[in-house]
Amino acid sequence: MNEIRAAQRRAQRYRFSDGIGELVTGSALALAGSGFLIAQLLDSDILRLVSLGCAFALVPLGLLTARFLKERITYPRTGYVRPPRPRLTYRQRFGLNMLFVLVVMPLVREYFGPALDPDTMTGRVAFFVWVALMVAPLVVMALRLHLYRLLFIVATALGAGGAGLLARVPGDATIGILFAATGMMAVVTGTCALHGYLRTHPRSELDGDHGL
Amino acid sequence: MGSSFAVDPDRVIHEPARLKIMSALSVLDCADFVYLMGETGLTRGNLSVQLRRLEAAGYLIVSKEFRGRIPRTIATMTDSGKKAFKDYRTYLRRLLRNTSEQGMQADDFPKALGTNA
Repeated sequence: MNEIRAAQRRAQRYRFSDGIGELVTGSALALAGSGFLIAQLLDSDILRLVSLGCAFALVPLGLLTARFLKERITYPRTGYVRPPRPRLTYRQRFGLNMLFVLVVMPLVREYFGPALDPDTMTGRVAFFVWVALMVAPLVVMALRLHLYRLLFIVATALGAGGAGLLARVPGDATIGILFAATGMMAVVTGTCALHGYLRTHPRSELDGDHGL
Repeated sequence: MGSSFAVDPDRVIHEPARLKIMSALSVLDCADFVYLMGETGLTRGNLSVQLRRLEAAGYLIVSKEFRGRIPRTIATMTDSGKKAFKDYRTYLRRLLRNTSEQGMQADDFPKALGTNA
C-alpha cells in the first residue's frame, strides 16, 4: 500500500522536479513586482496600469515558455506526463475569476473600502491575511508532496508581506516588494532544482521513445 | 479464514510491474513510454509487454503521436482501469485490516492470496 502511495506521490511530484515552473512563474512575478515598485517610485499611474497589464499578459506567456522549455529539456530526458485535468474547465475558471474581479472586489471595496485602505493598519493586516491565504495551498502541496523547497518561497512571501506591514510602506510598493521578493526566491529555487535535475538526468541517447 | 480472502485480487493489476504502471497512471491524465520506463525501472521490452497486457484487459489506451519527427507512445488509463485500480486498493486495504484483526502471520499471506510461496 505504501509502495502504491509512494509511486503516486512521485508521479504528482514529477512536474515540479525540473524547477521550470518556478523559474518561469518567479521571473513573471519578479518582473511584475519590479514594475509596481518603479511605478510607485515615479508615482506614475500610466506605469502602474502598464505593469498590471503586463502582469496579466505574463500568465499566458509564462505558460507558453514553460511548455517550450519542458519540450526541450524535460520530456527528452525523463519523459512526458500530463497532469490530471482540473475539475473546472477553462471557461468556468475564467468565469469565476471575472465574477471575482467584476462583482466581489467592487462589493468588498464598496462596503469595507475605508477599512481596507492599504495605508491603514486594518488594511495592512487584511493584506497580510490575504497573502497567507494565497500561499496556504503552496504549503499544503509542499508538505504533501515533500517539496520542501517551496517553503522558502512561502517564507519569502510572508516575510515580504510582514515587512511591508511593519515598515508601513505604501500599498502599491508593498505589493511590488511582495511580488518581486517572492518571484526572485522562486527563480532561485527553480534554478537550483533545474541545475540538480540536469546534473542527475543526462539527455537520453534514444532518438524517440522506442515504445510499442 | 476471513471472508475478504474469498475474493481473488485482480490478477492483471496484481503483478508488481503492472501495479507500478497503474499506480503512476492513476494520478496522471497520461504518461509516455520514457516516463513509465524511468518510473517502473522496466526494460523497453518488458514495459512494452506489460502495457499490451493492460491494454488487452481494457485498463489502458496506448496511442502513438509525433512531436516533430520524434515518436511518443502515450498511455492513458481508461475508466474501467480506474475502477479496477480502485477496487484493487479497496481489496488490499480490507486484506490488511482483516489480517491485523486476525493476527495473521506473514507465512499465511501466500495461502490467503492463493499464490505459491
